[in-house]
Amino acid sequence: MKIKTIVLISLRGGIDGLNVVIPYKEENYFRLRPSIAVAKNKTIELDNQFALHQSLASIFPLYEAGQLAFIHAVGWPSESHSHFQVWEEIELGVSESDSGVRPATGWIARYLQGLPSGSSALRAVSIGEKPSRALSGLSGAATIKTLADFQLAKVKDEALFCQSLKMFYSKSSLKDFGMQTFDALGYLASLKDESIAIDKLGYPNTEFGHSLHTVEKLIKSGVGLEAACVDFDGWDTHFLQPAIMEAKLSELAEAISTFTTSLGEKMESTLIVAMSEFGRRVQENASQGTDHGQGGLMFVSGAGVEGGRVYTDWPGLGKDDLVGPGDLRATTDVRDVLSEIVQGNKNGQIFPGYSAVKRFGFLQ
Amino acid sequence: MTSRRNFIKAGALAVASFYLTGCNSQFNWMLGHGYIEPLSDQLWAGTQQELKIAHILKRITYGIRPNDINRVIATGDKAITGFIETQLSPSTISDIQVDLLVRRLETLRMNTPDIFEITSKQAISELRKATIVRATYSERQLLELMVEFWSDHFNIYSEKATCGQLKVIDDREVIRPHALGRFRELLWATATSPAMLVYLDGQVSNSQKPNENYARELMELHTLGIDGGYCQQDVMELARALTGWKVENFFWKGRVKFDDRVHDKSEKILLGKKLKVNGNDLEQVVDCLSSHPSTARFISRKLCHRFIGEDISEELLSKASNTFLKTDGDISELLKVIFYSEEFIAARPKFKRPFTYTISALRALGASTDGGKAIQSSLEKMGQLPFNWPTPDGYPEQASRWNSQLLPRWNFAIELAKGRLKATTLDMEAISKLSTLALATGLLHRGIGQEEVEAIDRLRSSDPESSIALLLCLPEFQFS
Repeated sequence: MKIKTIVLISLRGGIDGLNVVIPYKEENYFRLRPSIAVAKNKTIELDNQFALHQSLASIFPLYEAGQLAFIHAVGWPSESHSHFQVWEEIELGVSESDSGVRPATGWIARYLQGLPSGSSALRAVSIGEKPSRALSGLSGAATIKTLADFQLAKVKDEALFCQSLKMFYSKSSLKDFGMQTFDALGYLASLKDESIAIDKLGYPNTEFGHSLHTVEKLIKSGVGLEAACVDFDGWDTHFLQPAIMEAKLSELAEAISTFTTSLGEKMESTLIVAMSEFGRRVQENASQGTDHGQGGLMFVSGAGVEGGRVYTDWPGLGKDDLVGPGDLRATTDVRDVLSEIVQGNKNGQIFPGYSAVKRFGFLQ
Repeated sequence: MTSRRNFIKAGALAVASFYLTGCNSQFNWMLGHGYIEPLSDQLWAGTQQELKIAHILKRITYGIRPNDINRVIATGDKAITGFIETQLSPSTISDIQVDLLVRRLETLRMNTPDIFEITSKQAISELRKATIVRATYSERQLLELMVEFWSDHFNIYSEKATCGQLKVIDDREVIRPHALGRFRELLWATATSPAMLVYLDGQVSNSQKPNENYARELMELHTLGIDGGYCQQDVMELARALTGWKVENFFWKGRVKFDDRVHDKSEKILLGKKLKVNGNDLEQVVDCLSSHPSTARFISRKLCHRFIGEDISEELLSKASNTFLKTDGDISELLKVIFYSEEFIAARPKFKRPFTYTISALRALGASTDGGKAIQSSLEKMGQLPFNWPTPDGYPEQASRWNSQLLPRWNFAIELAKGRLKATTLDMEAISKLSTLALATGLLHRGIGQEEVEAIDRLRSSDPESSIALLLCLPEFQFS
């Protein structure tokens, strides 16, 4: 299946994978999390090992239809439990522990640079205030908060203004870039008039809901979007985790299910990848929360996903199974998962100093 | 590219300059105090000498202001060398007006630990203000360009930890004093800059667990270059040599100190040479790296790239590197080799990075700016807000990293011309009195096609402000 667009959702703060895809048959899970374990009646069974937090119910149909797969106990090889540092390493695609090359560009940037396509002025976008470091160094990478950011500022006689500008650029050495920009503007102009309230469409009326809605519109416009980086933060649940997680998971699931439904056939060439910088400690802390851990959760949905499965080399939650201060062991390197998505590490160009050790085959 | 165009040349008509009143008080104040050059409707004659001066001014300033070319010509026979030599000695250039303007920004004079009483955001925003104001109005243009160059070369990301505050000090005490000085002193200053120690984790390095981050960048990005002939072992040795340099965290927060207790005192071999045991490791490291032939070549190449372009002859490169080595890394001498080379004079148009594009527009049209929020936000949208590049390689120089992002430039041009940027404004009344031809040639300093002039005129009659935006969007104005 050909992936035209990767939608990377960065769940910032370190999502507690153990309370999302729950190892519901393990006594240790309930023993170590007396006040925050997700009760069985609040879950949906995925297989004979894992169950889904019921707040994600709206994406369960995707799982049933084989379009959504979870990858569990996955992690980035870093001893640092710093959000900042681990994200930096992930986005640049290089681990501090593999000394040697330290690229200045992001892993998605290097992936896209290696592709033959890509002449759109909106080839890749970061949605939000800041460019994603995964896109660092890519020409044709824009940062937009809303589609309005990729519009020509208001001029009285826009037609005449653009006509003149086109004439200037058509005769210059910047011709291609000028025309790409006009093309992109043209694609987006066709979407401008939509004024239905976002919650009517089914998206949560939140920053994340708006972000995914923007990505949906960009993909539908045909502008040639190849990567979109969307942030969803607030997963650093040191306190009162259960209530926070319920709300956030519902928001996540509603946004994704609306996004996939709205894209319809276009989902066949769109791949959603959701990831976090790390998982959380297995044992709960004293304030109904969890601290930074190691093994975490990723999920993929869309183009070519062999879903309806939880892919994992499950390390277990027994005393001897845990690592560090009591973390779920990360048995799969994030880069193994990402390498599969980009169809191989291209001689270490995407993840320098790394060669993939495993391939789950979660993509056709 | 333009040879088949119908060039319009007008005689050099010396017509009096306008001193017109703008509609806002900041503008009047700046005009009255001599910050802003009054616009001139003198037409571009395009003599050989003017062309040459225009070319040089485009490259070693942030853009040509009205009358800049005449001012250089008026200095007589050795106009060009005179200009270059003066720019290379910024202390001989009076810049009182800009000094006064920047003096209002109190954060810039603050030191550690007091500066931590100000938020990182506020500190860096004031430094950005000063950077924009200086680039626009300073007479010491080459100094400002070189400050930008070294700020990229020794990049500090203001969002990391306390770097927002520490960069203010780094700019004042590390980059500015040495921007046209000797490379060794600059390198020493950066190595002992609290901003650098925090940014590249020297701060968290110690003999038990030497952190390689700064060690690697010091060789890869600051001195030898990636192919400069060092290996992973050198990185590890260097990391050990650099241990002990710390930034105070509590009392005297932000001060740099050397803590002998966490310095690795065992033997180190850097680039095949043993460091003297019990010597000052950092002194030896800085000596070694700043005088290394790979460094001479790497810095020369980068400067050639900055001032000439991406294709540099081997001949010029080795001449420049030899000068670097012979003069003990004298940056001004190195620049002379570049500026007096034929390649510099014959250099092809270079795509302006967003910061240069923005400042050149302000200078060409005699804009007033406070360097504040509105223009900073435009720069961020264009992708080059100063001190906002996360990785240690600094904002890239290559055109290919910038030239696909035209829309934010067009939008900046429109917002500026429409008067929608708060505290960055044009004197539209003065501009309206100039002919399109005078405006266009005042921006481009070259001929412009009849068809272009007609297109701009057409828009000018219905929407004069947009026509000024259109001028700033001209493909030719994207190049210096």
